[in-house]
Amino acid sequence: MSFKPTEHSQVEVAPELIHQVEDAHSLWDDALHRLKKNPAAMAGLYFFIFIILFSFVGPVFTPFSAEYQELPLANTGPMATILWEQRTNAEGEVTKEDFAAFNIVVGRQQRTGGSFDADAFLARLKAGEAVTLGDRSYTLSDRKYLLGTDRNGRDLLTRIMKGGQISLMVGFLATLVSIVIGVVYGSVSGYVGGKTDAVMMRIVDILYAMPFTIFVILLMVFFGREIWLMFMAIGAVAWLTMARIVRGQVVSVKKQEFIEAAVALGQKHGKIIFRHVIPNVLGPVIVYSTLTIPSVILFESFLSFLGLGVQPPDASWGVLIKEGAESMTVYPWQLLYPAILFSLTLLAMNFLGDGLRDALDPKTTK
Amino acid sequence: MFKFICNRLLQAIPVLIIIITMTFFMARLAPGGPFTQERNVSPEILEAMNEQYGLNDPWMVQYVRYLGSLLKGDLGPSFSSPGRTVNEIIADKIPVSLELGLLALTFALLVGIPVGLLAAVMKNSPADYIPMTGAMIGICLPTFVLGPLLALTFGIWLGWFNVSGWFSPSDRILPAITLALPYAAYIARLTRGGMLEILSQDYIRTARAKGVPEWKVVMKHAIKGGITPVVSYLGPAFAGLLAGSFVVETIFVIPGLGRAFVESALNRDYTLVMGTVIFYAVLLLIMNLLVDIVQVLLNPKLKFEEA
Repeated sequence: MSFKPTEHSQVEVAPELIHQVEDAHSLWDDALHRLKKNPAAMAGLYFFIFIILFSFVGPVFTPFSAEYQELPLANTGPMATILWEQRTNAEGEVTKEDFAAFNIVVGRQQRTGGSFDADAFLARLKAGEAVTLGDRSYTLSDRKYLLGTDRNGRDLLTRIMKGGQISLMVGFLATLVSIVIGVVYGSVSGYVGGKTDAVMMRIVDILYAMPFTIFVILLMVFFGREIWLMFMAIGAVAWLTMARIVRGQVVSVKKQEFIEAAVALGQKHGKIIFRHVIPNVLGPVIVYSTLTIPSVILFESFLSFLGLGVQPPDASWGVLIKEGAESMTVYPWQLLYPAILFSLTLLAMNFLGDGLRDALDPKTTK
Repeated sequence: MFKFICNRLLQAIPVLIIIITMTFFMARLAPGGPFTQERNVSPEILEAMNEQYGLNDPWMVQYVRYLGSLLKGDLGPSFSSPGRTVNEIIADKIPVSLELGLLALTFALLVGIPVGLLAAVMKNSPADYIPMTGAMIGICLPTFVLGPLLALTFGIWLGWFNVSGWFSPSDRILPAITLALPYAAYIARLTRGGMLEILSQDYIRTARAKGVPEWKVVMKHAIKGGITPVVSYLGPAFAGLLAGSFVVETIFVIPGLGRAFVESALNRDYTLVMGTVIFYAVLLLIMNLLVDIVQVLLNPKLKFEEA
């Protein structure tokens, strides 16, 4: 008996059946639907999108570039009042002019001039007056730093954005490295099976036992603190778990009938792996990747905090937190803002990763 | 069990050899030597120093010599602290790091397990989701953010503790809490998850049906199985505590091994770096072995042969 596919036009389909077909969901639709019902994961997703825009598009909108520095305004507080200072000599010519932070001017006056009414001073400036104190005259500047400045008088907000660019880039690229190595290694190991599988997984086991944090530190110290080296080093460490996950998936996919069919049709192994096996293990890979990105960002910042990561003038969030921690006793905002943003990003990505895991694998209990 | 331990120790030997070899040659391959950073050193003195420490010999000769002295338990002289051996330095620093690590681990367990137990028993109540949300935040807050924030709040604004140093007993509190909090949070989550799974088992229902009081069900019947995930987590946790100690010892200026390692790496003190790496590796291998043993002891379904 031969089987001939019926042509579509010949079949009468009841309208309610068509409706049913439209309502059928693929695995990905279902996952998206479940994800949308998880408020924590969605909040994580939105915050993550916000952070990407903030880091990569944000610097366009800030009035200062990340490198622009104004040394007299070093360590200026968030939204602090900033003055324009002009020094004049005996002939009344302006010899020097520059920015000056309001609180520093007030502090200097209070030390030298005894009682100095800062409020009255500010009121006169706000009225648009030029106030002369000794040989210096002050006018109010319209310059403001939303999150204050760092120790070199650079805008902290722009620095945080630029730091976000580096941290996110390290996170994505290192995760990409780990995905490529892990997926290829894991699928080959799981697909070939037998002795090759045993040996390949044994190697992973041995590598697991290594103190890798220490190795990456050594690598960074001995071979210079290049960013690309950091991608490679972290990515090369993070692939181990990925390889294990992929292998486990591949072993179970391999037993399915459509793989047998592909083998029976005489397809090459490489093609079977890339066309049939890998697309079927993508779910867990995506989930694990979303959880790898924050841990990589964390690790990079950890290295930078120890002074072993990104080097100045480049700054990742780790560098900013390190600099902030060094001056937190006097200028706490330099620590607080980068630390808060960094922690929120990690939190958001972890919520998103957890949500994706729940969405893609409905079997797991919470 | 004896056979199991022997097997595992035998397996550890190749791992150790790989670690030693990789570290050794990585240090040699790197541009610059331990004495290149010091300024005002004439080439003759540099040559003499390299000669004295045997750095002019071929690498293989150095490697074999190093392995030889290692077998005798000698980690060699330190390059950056003249006149001191690596053994001395490690012996000097280890009590500090050990104290910090043990304090942190104790704190993490003493906080994490009860919180997790309570959350599991009072599932879906405020006693569950308030601590669990806190735990999620605790996991996401890295040590190098938490440490400075705690120091800022309790050290500077409230003035309760010193911000740095390692002298009085109160100096231990902030570093230990900083190191412990992420682990306490993770342990709480693991305990909750493990307990929830066990509490839904048949034998727990049987115990309840027999009229065993609830606290006894939890504390006697369920807890043994419920904290197994915590036990298997202790291995990775220990590795994490080591990495955390680098940060915490740097933040709070604690004279421990973690800071010594970071500094030795920055100073290219080859022998001290290698000594610390080997020490850490051995410590990790032993800890993983101990964790595996405890796991089998807690779970009668596992057997030593399988592991």
